[in-house]
Amino acid sequence: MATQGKAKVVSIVDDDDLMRGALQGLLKAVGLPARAFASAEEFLESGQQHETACLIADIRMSGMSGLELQAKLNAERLWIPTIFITAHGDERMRMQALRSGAVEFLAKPFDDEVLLESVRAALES
Amino acid sequence: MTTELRKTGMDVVGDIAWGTHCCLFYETKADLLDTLVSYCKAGLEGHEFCLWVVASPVTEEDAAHALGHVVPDIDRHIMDGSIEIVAARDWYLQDGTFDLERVIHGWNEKLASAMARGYAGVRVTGDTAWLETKDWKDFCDYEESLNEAIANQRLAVLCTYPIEACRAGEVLDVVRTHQFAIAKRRGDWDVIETAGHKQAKREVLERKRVEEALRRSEAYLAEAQRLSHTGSWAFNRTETVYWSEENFRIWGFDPQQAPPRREMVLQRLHPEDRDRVLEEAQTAVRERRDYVVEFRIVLPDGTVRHIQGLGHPVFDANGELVEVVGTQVDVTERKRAEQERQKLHQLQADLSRISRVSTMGELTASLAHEIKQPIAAAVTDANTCLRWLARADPDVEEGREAAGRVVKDVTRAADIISSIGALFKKGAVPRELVDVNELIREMIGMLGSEAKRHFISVRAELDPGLPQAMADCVQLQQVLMNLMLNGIDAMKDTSGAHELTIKSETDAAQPVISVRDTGAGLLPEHVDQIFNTFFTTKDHGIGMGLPISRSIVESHGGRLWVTANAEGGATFQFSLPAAGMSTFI
Repeated sequence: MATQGKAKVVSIVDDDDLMRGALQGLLKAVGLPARAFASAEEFLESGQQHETACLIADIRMSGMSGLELQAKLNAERLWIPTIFITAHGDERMRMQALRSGAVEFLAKPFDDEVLLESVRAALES
Repeated sequence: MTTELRKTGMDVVGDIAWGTHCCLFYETKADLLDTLVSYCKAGLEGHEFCLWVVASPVTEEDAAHALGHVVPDIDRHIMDGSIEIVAARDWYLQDGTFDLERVIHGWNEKLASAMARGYAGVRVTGDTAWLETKDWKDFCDYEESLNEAIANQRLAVLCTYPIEACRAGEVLDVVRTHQFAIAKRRGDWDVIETAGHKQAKREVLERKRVEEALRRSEAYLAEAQRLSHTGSWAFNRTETVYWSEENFRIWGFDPQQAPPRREMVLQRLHPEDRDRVLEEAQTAVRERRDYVVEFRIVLPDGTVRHIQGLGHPVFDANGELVEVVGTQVDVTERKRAEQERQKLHQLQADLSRISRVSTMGELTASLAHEIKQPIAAAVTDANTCLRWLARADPDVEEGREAAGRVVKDVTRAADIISSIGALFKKGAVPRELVDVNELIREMIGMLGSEAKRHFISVRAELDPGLPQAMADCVQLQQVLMNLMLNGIDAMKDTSGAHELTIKSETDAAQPVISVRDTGAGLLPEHVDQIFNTFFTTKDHGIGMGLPISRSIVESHGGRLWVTANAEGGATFQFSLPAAGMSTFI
């Protein structure tokens, strides 16, 4: 079950190793602990979804996509504030993500300040 | 004389033409009645008006009674005036004297009234038993002039003579004044023709033959006109002289009516085309030449037809216009088929454009995605690096780590870009012998309508001796299409001549293909950049076409380069190794 008020962990799901490293490095620089996963499946298997206060996910990934992951979490009644980052998002995809409860939808390359603000907002909610 | 034949009802005579004037010599009253009853019956059946002039010993009653035996409804015919039976004395001898003029006038009156009542013509038989010697000479004159009087009328006259009352000289007179004579010979009816009548009969037959040939020829012409949707016409200065059956059909006029008047024809011309057609025709007449003009006509029901017209003015010896004759072809169907074909071509061009765009588009979208990943990572890592260094107490170690990641990110991006070329490396797809000229012709066919849409003419200058190339046909198509579409793009918004020339030539035994446009041309500083990835001078371009084209050509062991034309525009050229050469890179 979602555990707000427990450890405020940020989870990163991105199949691109460079992006994963960059996001983890950025969060570390602002003092936020983060765990990174190379796929949605890996994230779900880790059980970390129950400890996650904020999720940063890529949309297009090999295997389960970011939007599918969000749908799956919602189906399990896990309402994790999610920030999507994508290299080729369109308006339709953006609307779908926001309707499903995403808090932010960022196009790569993105402004790190915008990302961090969203992460902080998610952690404080 | 009309060639229409009438049945006589007499077996020995058969059919006769209108205008026939013949005589019959009879021995007995029974012979006479038998013959004339059949003669009149045939006339009534042929819807002719019959006039039977009887003389003693035959009475009007005898004639009517005899007719009643073979024509059951004779009373009705007598009542409605289809047949009149009169006595010779009343007809020939009014006031007791024979008057040639009056009798002939009488026939003509009967003819006029019969024609007015809708009969096919007038059939007459008159008996001469009343004739006396004093009238013989006058009557011969009458018989003589009757030949001429009825020659071109719908009139047939059978004069009957009692043979016993005629002397030899009189028989000769009678035979001479008639076209032929009918007489009983050894118990059977026989026909005696004069040489002149034989000649006349031959002429009738000949005319019939000519008329028949003419009718056949006209029927074939009408059929040909119908099959080819071609009508013909002739106008003189004031009226429509001729209007063929097919022309009636094309223009929607009633063929039962007279040829349409000029104003009626003009009225059916499409309002937008009327002035142009008139002017074209008038100019042609003024310049004494033929003219060809395309126009539309609008039928009363709103149907629009496309017509291809041709006119030929005819002048007399003095140079005066006699008439204008011409043809009109209904090309509506052809036009429709042409439009369908054009639509199909357009569709084909659109399809090939879509497939080209989607192939390139998919490629670039996936490349863009691939490249954006490391670039986004680099931006984030660089920002992170700055964060570590910007602290009150900068963490150089963390900063170095982040900077190290930036290096990795950027290296990945560079690798991806250089991998574009690798997509087309030799061996990835099978190569085959390609007739490059054929390929060029195909591409021109496919892009023809695209060029036409922008008023660009496409010209091919193909070297018939061009060596074949060993290449991947689809990739070569992409290169050609890309260069041609670039050429079209370069010209479509510029003024001046718009010409795209695709040329193939042999240089050092290698096929060299060039695509030359007359567009905006190249800035000198762009010549070097133009093949760089993402370089574009177009508003909507993505800058991938030329680098990919160059990659393809180079993977084939050829070269792709561009030169600015002295007179404006650019020429892209590429070489390919000939099939036999082993100079692949």
